[in-house]
Amino acid sequence: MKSSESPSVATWLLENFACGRENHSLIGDIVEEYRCGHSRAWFWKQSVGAIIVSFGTEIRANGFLAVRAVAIGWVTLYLGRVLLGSWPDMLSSPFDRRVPEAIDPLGHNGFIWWIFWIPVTALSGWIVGRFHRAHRAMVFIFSGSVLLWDLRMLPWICTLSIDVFSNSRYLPYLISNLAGLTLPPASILLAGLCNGPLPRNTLRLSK
Amino acid sequence: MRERFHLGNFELFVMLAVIRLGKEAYGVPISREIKERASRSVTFGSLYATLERLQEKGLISSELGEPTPERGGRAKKYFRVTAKGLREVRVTQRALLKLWQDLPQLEARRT
Repeated sequence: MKSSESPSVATWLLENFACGRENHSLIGDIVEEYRCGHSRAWFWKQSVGAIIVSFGTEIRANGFLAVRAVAIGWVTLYLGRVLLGSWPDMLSSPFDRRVPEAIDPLGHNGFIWWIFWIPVTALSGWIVGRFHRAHRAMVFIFSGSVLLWDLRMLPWICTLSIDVFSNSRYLPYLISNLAGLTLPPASILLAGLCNGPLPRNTLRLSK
Repeated sequence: MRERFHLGNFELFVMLAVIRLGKEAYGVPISREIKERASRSVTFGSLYATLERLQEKGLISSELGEPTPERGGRAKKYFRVTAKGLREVRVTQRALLKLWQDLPQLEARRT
């Protein structure tokens, strides 16, 4: 039997990220229609659609803020890269012969680099979120720009995906590259959205 | 010169559904009306974005109803077409009718 309770994760996402003026009524309508016999997949489709539309509307209405968010984020990433310099390489050198190849297939302790780099990407997301607390869509647009930049690795990842079928030795390389593609945008999103104010405080319910 | 709005296709659908529903016009019936009469499935996200836009243009107004348990304690938002909105729909209707006239290709299909 289908539960009349709406999917809690989708509802939470709607409450936190569908940022239109009509937020509460919109969620109420989706819940009401869901309880009339729609599936969970329908609820998810409506929720994701509402979030995408609300972000699109927010970005279109605040073009300057979107450009500023992307600029602030990339400048932070650049500064972070400069400040990191060659520290990760220096710190990883003592482990050069101790780390098993399966963990560090690239042979230069890439995981130590990631230990340093992920906090930098998270910090950039946090800063963008902090500067745009009333416009959470800006964190998404910055994260999207980083993902877009990282997509340059896609042809290489596709090649590795094919090679993995013939030789499992390529699996760690594939995992490492997939992590490189997804972890920076994900950490930006998490850090950027966590620091913002609770949407309940920012809901602008019209009369 | 009077400011002229150009109602888009979906905006016109929404306006007509709100006029048709009268006092019962909130998200759920509006989406059902469009689905039944125009055979177009509607996502609530795009419906609310359109309603918000029409409200900003002053073509519709809204008021909150009471929260109800079947909506998880969330209030309905009722929409009503303003005099300006009604005028705009008439203008769009006249424009569409004029465009419709004397089109032999469409005349032939009717028979």
